[in-house]
Amino acid sequence: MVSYKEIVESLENEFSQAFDFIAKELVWNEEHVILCYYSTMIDTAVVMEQLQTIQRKFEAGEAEYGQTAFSEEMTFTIKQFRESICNGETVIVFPKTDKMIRILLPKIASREPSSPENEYVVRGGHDGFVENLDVNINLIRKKLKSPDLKIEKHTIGAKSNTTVSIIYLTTKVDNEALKVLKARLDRIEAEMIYSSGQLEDYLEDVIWSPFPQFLNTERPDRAVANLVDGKIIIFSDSDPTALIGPITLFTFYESPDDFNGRVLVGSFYRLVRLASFFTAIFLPAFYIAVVSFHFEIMPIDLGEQVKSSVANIPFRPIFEALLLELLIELIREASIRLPSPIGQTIGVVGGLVIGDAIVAAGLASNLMVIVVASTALASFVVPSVEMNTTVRLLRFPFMVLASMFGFFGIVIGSMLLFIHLLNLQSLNRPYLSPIIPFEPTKIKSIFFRLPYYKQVPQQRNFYLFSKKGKKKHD
Amino acid sequence: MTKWTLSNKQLFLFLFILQTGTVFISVQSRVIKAAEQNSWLIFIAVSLFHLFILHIFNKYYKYFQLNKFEKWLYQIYWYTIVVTFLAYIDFILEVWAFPQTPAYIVISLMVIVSLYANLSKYAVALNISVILIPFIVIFLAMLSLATKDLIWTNLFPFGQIDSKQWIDGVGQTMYAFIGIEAFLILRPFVEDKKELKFRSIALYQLILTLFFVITILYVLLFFSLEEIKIIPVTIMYLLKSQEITFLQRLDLFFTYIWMTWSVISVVLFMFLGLSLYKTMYTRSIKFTVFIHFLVSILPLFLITRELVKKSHDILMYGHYFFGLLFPLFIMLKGWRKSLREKKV
Amino acid sequence: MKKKFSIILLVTVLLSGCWDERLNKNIVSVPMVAFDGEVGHLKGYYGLPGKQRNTTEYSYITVDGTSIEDLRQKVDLQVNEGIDLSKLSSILISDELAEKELYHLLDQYYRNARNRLNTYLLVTEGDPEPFIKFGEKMGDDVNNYYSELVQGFIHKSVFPNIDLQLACSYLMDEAIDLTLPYVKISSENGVPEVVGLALFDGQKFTGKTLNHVESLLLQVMKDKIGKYANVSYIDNEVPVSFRINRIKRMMKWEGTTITIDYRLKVGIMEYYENHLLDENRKKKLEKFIQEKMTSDMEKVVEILHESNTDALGIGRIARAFHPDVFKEKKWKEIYPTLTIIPKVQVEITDTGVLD
Repeated sequence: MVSYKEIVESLENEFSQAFDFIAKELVWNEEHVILCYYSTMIDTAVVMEQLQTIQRKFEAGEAEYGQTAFSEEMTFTIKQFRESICNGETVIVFPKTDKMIRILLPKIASREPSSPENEYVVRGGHDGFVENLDVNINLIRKKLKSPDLKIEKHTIGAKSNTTVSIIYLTTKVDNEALKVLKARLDRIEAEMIYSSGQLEDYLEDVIWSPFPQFLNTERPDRAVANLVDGKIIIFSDSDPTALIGPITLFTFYESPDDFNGRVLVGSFYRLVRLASFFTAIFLPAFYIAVVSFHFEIMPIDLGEQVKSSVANIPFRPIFEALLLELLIELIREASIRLPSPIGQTIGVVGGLVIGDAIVAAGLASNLMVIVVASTALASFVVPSVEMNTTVRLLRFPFMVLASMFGFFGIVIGSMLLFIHLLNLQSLNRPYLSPIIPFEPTKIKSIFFRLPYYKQVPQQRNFYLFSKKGKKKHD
Repeated sequence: MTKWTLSNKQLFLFLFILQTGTVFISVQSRVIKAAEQNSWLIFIAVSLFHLFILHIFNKYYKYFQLNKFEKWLYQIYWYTIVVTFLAYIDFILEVWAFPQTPAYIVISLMVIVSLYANLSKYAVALNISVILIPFIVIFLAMLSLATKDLIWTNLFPFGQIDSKQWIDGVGQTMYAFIGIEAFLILRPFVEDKKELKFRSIALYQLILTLFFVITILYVLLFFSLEEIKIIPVTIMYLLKSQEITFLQRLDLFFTYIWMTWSVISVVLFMFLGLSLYKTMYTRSIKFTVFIHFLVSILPLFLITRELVKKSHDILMYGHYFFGLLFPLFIMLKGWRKSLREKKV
Repeated sequence: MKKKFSIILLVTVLLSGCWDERLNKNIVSVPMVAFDGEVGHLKGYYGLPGKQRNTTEYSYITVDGTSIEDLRQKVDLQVNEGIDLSKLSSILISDELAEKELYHLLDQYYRNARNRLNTYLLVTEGDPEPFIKFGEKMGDDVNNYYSELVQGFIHKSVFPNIDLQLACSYLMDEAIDLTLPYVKISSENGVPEVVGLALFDGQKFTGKTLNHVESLLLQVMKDKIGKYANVSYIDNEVPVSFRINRIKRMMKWEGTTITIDYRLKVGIMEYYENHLLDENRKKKLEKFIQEKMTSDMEKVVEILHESNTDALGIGRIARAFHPDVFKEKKWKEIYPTLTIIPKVQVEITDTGVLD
């Protein structure tokens, strides 16, 4: 039995400052009921209809008067009440019988699932996740019509009451990783969580690693492809980004484009992307090492070109490189913050005008501009924004090492990096799989986009040599 | 102590890197100096002998039970190997790439890699060798560039091996097999205790032998004998003389491949030692740091041409004892103990 | 605290870094050098391309010194930037100097890890200074002028492919002797011109040379021809040119008499009498080439014997297969006692687009 007074007090305490909070006392069959909702979060017409149905049932004296398709009847608790109201539900409290009915029809603003801007693909679906969990689940279910698809909800954040949902395929999922993930979710003790980035911080294995341990995506096709692989998707409410785990380093280099294109084309671009990983990290370091330590590895003609380009630069190569890298980062930041037409202008102005001027002014050499520019290009090739920033960050320590020890520094640095990657886990799964643990048969799938349906031959009429063909034929 | 296991492939990769590690650039000229055209024959003979040893190790590894003293003995042996290797690596780097950089910097950077790897999970040390697989291929490809310059007549005359060549040649060949005792340490951890077949051991030994014999033959056929006598790291010199249009100094790249290779073999030796330490004491982090510190200090006293050479000569006797005699002795001891237990 | 301390330590150690740094812009790479004089009183010429020094003009420096390294250091005194020999493409040595000991001059290049080993060696007729001075007229080719010259003739099978490393290998091995490209300044227009091969006896240049036709024959006799091996003769006032496509070499050892059988497959490149399908004519032509080549080869063998140059590497074969003939450290005495008889058989397999 909840006292009427208690409810009113609670309402006053918690919601008095919200102008859109509405609490009304109604009398149904001579019983006082309280109707509460946020006027900004309900669709009045729809809720009204439900309300009338419930009232009719109640007044007719039906036993299960609270149960309709969109409402739920339960015992009143202050906690649940609070949560429901915040979620935009309409709640009818029956102080006499200590019951409440929730009408689960919140109206939440949501945009159209349009193509995500930072994960553009040439071919393939152009829909993207939005800031609404229901829409996102809808998008996934649309692509994956399987009863195996399971969605679990967790509520975290004492103040923000964020719903975090875990989505996976029961038949495919890596159960131990799932257990680890749930344990980590349960451990979270935070007041407010409102973005997937914050969630990621709580869920990651090694937070100080430069490498992301969850794949972030806003593309349903990418999410679905990973679901089928047995990965787990984590959505935080009102965030369009899906976190996917456990993942490997190489997942970041796979794009939905690979499988939308042809096998050879997809393989080629996957190789290009992997090469770009090494270019983006090592090229400036390599150049610095060559120019300041090992110039004898260049053939004499090349050496001559390099020399005449570097000869009048007043800085050491490392400062020259840092200057240009800094400039490129500036251009990048500036063009992100500005609306896209101006952003492009900034790119052109920064890239062409400043690049040209800096060479003309003798602050940096032509070659360094080429090196830094191609490195920047290589880093943008990665089809994942997090990895892209990681890669760009990683090249700075290598540049410093190269400027101090030449190749020796690069080698030591890359060994440390390799050990770090070996150590790294994503939901307790090896990050470098299938290279570590070494599975030679799976390695080719890193470098090549293999035919998706390799096991199903298309035609069996021309030749009957293949075993599969024969079997089927018989 | 956390449990760890490894697969057959990991075991053999571990052994391969351990055994080739640092020595694989110097062993050729050592063997050829001792046995001239017969070097590769002697190498194959010694390799067969080690195959036999490995077979025995594999059959009776259960009797290889070390007591505390023996564990310390092995650890000291491995740390000594690490110290001599580090001295040698620095010496080579100094000659080929870094005349000015002080030794303590170079060595401590390499040791930091080892420290990091050994403070990490077990999986790191067991898997780190994988990074070398592409380098092995690159190395062999670089070597194959020299094929057109080989002089086949340098191979002859062979076959008549006098006793001096046998003794010297066998002695020098032993370098290629330093670290064979690691098999005994790792064997009990091989996954699901499956029988390790003789065939896979033979295959491993074949690959190892091929690797060394190919390099020995390349050196033998590329240089004249007089030349080999004055060049200590012939493989490097061989690569240096190769010309690629867009890259000069192939040897410089090879130096770093070899350095990676060596540093990883150092990691593996340290791992072996520390894994024995961890069987005795539960707390190991302080010791790990301490021993790495020690290992980075000691090589500084060894870096002169003579001392590097001498310490390598001493390693050979270490291998005779710790790689061959001592394990056999311990296994014999364990076998007798097990007989006694059976009787009781 | 510990962490802070270790970071401070690390930073202080590393801040003094860059021990081995050698900035490219502070180094002048020398593409060619020449030596004259004698050991102890060497004279060196170092070519410095303009681009390396940010000037447009080529210049060269002449220095006197006691040893190769001494010369290098003295050159360094005259150049504002550091001198670097790691990209040396050619070393020219005057014939007088080569007549003393060759290895003395090269030791510095073998010993230093930074130097490259693909440098070509050339022996010059007389003073090498004009060869370096000629750099002024080389234009942009100055970096590789002499090495490209040598490489061209390697393709044409006139020169053996001997670089610095191989030269060392030959000098160390008593069972084979070195032959190096021999060049002179043309008396007509002052341009460097290829003469043929300089023959070495052990460490020393013998003063004897082969002209370029004989040099080509020597490569044929060694069975080491380059991409092309073209020979021209005149058969009864009809010029015949052919290229050697394949060589099969067989050696027969009877005591100290060595018969070397060559079976050549040749392709005709010029022969205006035509009608080579005619068996008789073909046979006749083959016979003519056979005899001409055999006699020419005999001449080459004679010259090699005179200079006691085992350019064919007979010693290596003797060491490998004929231990009764070969004695360690004595080969230079055994070699002159050998009789070498070349025999050639020619087969025309290709006549171009005409019959």
